[in-house]
Amino acid sequence: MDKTPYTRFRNAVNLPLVIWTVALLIYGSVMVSSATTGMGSGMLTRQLVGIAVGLVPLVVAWVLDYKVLKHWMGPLLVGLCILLISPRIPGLGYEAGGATSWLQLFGVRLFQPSEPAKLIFIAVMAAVVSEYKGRIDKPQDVLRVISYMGLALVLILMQPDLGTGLVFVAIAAGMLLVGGMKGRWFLIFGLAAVVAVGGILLLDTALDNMAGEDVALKDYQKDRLLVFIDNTRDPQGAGYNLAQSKIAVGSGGVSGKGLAAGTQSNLNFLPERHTDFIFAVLGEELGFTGAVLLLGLYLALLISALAISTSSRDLYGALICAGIISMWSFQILENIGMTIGMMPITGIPLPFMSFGSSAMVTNLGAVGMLLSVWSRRYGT
Amino acid sequence: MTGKRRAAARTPHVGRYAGLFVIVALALAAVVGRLVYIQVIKAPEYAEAAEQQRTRDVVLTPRRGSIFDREGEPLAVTMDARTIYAVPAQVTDAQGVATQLAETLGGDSEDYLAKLQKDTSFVYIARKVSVETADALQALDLAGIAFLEDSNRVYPSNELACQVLGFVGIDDEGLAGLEKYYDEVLSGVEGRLIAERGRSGIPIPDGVTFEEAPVDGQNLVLTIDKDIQYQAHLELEKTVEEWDAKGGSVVVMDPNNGEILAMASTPGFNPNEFGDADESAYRNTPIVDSYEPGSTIKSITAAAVIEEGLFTPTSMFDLPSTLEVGGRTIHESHDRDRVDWSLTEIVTNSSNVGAVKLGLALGEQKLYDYFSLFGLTEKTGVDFPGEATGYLPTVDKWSASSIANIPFGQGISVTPLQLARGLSVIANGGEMVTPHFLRSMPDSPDQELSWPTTRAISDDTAADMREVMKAVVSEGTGSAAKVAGYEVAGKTGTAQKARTDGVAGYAAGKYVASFSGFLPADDPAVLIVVTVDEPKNGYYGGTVAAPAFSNLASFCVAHLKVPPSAGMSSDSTTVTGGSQATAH
Repeated sequence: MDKTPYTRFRNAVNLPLVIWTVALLIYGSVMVSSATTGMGSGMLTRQLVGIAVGLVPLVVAWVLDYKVLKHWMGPLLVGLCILLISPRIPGLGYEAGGATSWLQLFGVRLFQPSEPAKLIFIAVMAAVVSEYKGRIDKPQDVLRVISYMGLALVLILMQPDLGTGLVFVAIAAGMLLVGGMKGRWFLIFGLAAVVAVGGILLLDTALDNMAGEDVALKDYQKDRLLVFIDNTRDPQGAGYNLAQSKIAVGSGGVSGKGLAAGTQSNLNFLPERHTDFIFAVLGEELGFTGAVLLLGLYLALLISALAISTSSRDLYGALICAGIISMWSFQILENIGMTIGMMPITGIPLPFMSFGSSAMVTNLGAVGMLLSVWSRRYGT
Repeated sequence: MTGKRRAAARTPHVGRYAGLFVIVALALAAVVGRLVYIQVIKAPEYAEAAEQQRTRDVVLTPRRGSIFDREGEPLAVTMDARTIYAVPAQVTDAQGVATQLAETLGGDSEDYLAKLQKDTSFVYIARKVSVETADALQALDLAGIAFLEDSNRVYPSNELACQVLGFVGIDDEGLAGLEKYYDEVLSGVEGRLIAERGRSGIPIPDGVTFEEAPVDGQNLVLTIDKDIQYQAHLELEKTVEEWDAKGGSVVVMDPNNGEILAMASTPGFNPNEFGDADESAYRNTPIVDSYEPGSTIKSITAAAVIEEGLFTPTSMFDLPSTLEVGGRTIHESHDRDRVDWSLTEIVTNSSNVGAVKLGLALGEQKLYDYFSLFGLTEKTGVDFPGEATGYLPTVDKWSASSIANIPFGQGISVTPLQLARGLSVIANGGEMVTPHFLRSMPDSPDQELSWPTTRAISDDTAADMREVMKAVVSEGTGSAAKVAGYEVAGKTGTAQKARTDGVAGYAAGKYVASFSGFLPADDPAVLIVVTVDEPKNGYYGGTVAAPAFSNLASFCVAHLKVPPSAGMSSDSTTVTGGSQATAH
């Protein structure tokens, strides 16, 4: 086949995906720069370094044929477990915000292992789900598939990091949907989850009362969930974050107060403003206009990822894409949702926007995986 | 069919993607909807919340004006003080801090501990602490304990003129007395500082958006003379003690212009610690309480018949030992036989029968009109809060026997200040003055203070009455009121108190003894009303109240350097009322 340089380029690069990713990276850098006004220089630089470092997994994943991952099930599974357990290994974990979700070596905080673990989990799940060739209905099959998710979830909840655990559930759900699990199983597991959460909350409260101290689920985690149900519960405590971010977003109005001019964000009312609550800064400074622009970019990114997924020549590639789409979708909805009071507050970063290198590197690695699927859609 | 199955095995059915896409798209649409709600519909509310949260309205408290007496002596001043508060969250060692607070400030460490453990961001520890104490505490550098500039109202002379001055509350707001009446002038105008602040509550250096400097309160100079006030206070206390009385009051006034030189009542209190006193001690009785004036009123009844041209001081009256009017028998306080007395003698001997005869000659309406003319039916207009009006019913509400007791001061009530004002008319030649405390406002030199005066009776009538009242002291019931070197005019008053148990009539053995007078009689400089409430060992005004009047009056004329009356030696010999003969 005679290939012009242009068609070779078209075959290897999904232009929309790259464009939307670059646009989001620029948008994110501008917002991090604005949100870190007054925190001293270097925050933007650190963010840009994170992007640069992220180009490495992007290129590696792109060049690597995604199909080989299918045969690395064993090592990937081991790697996944090590990543998720590592922060709990004495001497390796770093505790922040009540959860030990950072890995540190010799006192140097390295990264959050649960971030790259998401991609490994996607690869593992894709391999397992693709075995059933698009139809998962037998109870034993369902149980087997779900047990992989259960394993990851248990390890994450040990950190304990409820938010990231939910991301894994969302990834699995999206992949199972695309991978052909029957609708009734979603219904069954959905109901089971609701019952389980309610039961755990009640049980934990009972345990706390019996033990006389805060055992099992941490109180702050329970509070976050309960505040979501009744956000006037404790405005200075757990509800404070929510109240402040709503004030910030709401006071931005249609057109916003201008970059670096957000009074709520820059006066320290807004907690975690450059990381988990960066959308509140964006909402305050760029208003509804800026928020809709961001949502538009995300929608475009997700559509191009969906296009890549449908273009995949095999189920495995399609499932990888579906996992990434699910991961981003959930993180976007959960992060923005919590900022505006639609979702409980968790520590989930906003893809490509939040300050933080672990997430940035992971997300760029995901872009690399998408490109790997895209560039091999006609076979290699 | 098989081809389709194989295709499905290799890549997912498009419906699966559609499901994923629809879920995500719907969720995103919900987010947009929520954003429309928050950022468009509710935006003004959130903007308001943001504004309120980041700006702090700091009230800049003005300094309260001081109060001085007419000589410039301070009566109420504002001193620097500190208010101590805690930010409980910043207190690291609550127990230790509580102990040190108790050691420095006094009080119970348990109380401080309770405050330090409150779930709040601000709690007062102690307000208006002296600067020295606050500095000592500040030197300890306790975490979570902070200080505010404050001020403290201090009354250097303690209970002197306490009821007149009143006091201020914890926020320096006037709660009683002149502090309350002139609160607006004294307190000044609050300033405002609107500052942007961060979450910690600390104003941001460049964040000041609005500043309005406070305007300090104005100083007031009173008509009160601290020395006379002190003497009035002493004489009153002495008299009350001597006669084992329930209380008493003194008014010292310049009858020519209504300036109140002193006003005292007992029991008193220390305005620096007003909270410790019984509230009844706060009452400035000469203004806020009325009493049945009794015989003192005879001088006004007499002035009325002279002004009406019915009689002169020398007009003679046939007075039976008792008189029956409207079904009521009028007795004298001392039984006597039938006599022929002049109008002057009716007053000097304080004859009830004589006073009723004068009242009957005048008629009910005229009597009422003259009492009104002398200000007994209206407030004096004094610059003091809560003035009472007394009680004098209009004629249509009089009973048949009203005319038989009102002319000598029964069945009506007045405040001592109303009485002082009424007698001023006689003292100053017929002018009705407005009693007042405020002499000047040095910070507002352009502010004109006006205290209206109106003519009540003719100069001649007033002069006649001064002669009559001179005789009361020189040869009548008020002889104990004499002052060496000065002619004194006055009138005794001995009134029974009404029963307070709801039954009509008078309470046995309960009297208000009073003496009201002025000197020098021909050109009065000082008018004094002394009332003694429920004296136990005696009850005649001439016995109980007149000596206090005499002592205070002699102090006043000496202090004010009033020239002695012509032809009077400085010993206590008095000239008889020879001038009576010349009166018309």
